[in-house]
Amino acid sequence: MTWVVRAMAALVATIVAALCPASPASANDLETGSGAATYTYDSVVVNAVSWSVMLERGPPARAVAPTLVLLLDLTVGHRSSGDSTHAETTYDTPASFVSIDSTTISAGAPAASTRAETTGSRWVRVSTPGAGFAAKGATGAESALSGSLLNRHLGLLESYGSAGFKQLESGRFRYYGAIKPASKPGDMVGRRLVREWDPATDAMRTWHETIDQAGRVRIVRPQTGPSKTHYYFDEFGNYGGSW
Amino acid sequence: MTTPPSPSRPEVHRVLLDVLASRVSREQAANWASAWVNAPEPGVDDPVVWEALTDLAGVDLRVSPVDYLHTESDIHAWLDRMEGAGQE
Repeated sequence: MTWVVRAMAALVATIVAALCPASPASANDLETGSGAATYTYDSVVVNAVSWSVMLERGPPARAVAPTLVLLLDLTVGHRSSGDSTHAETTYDTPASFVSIDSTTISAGAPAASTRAETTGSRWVRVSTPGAGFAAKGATGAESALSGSLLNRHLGLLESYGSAGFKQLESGRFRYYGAIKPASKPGDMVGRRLVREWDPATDAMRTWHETIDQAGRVRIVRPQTGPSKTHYYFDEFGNYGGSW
Repeated sequence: MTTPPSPSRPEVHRVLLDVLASRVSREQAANWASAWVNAPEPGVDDPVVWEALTDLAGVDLRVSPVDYLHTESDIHAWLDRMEGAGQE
């Protein structure tokens, strides 16, 4: 059982240290979720496990940074033994979240099959950050960059991602605001604000998407300055012109 | 370009009223709000102000070359929500 405790400590320390995945390619399906969510990882080393961070969004009136709640409800162990444990840790701010010393990561945690289950109806799920975040074994400077990127991500999530976000294949993050309803009769039911962020370059772009009754994006208008162009798409997604 | 200091609730509230009264155009109001909404770091800590700015940033959205997406009723609803949030 000792190795399980050590492994859990290592896992938690790994997560809170710098959000630096050893295996960034897996479990990077960033998405919002409600209800139960299950992640299954097969044949991975605990120290290299992909993990999830639960970000608790504060109430709407809250102006401060969101509280990060690390919720790990894991079954860790060899397939044969199936040792179980539970860990739950709460940190007040992103700053304290990223300041945990990663040197407590223990060596020698055995390879294990790890199953992670997370549940919750009001969580935004943040899986392993992809490219742009420091890799395992990063230098101090890279670790600092990782913390900076994390804070940037959290800030964008708070301001622009009330309806969730996703990570694109390119490594960029796209944040979606809630749909603001429109009472005008017609096909369009509302619009939402979208921001895209490239962690590699810190470039950002912002646009509005007008949504129809079927939930399709029908009009896109980039926020590119005083001269704004609306790009229209028909119900089949075909470009139909601009104004 | 430096992002201007965050507007206050009364300032945003006044712009919404100005749009309804046609003292400023929708385009002017949207451009004003977009200074923060489009900024890399908006610097708006008040969630009530932020929500209203994102409302205003899209007040000039159109569903056709001649029709706006949002009606005056929508703008009234934004005002009601802001007023319902109380004072900062």
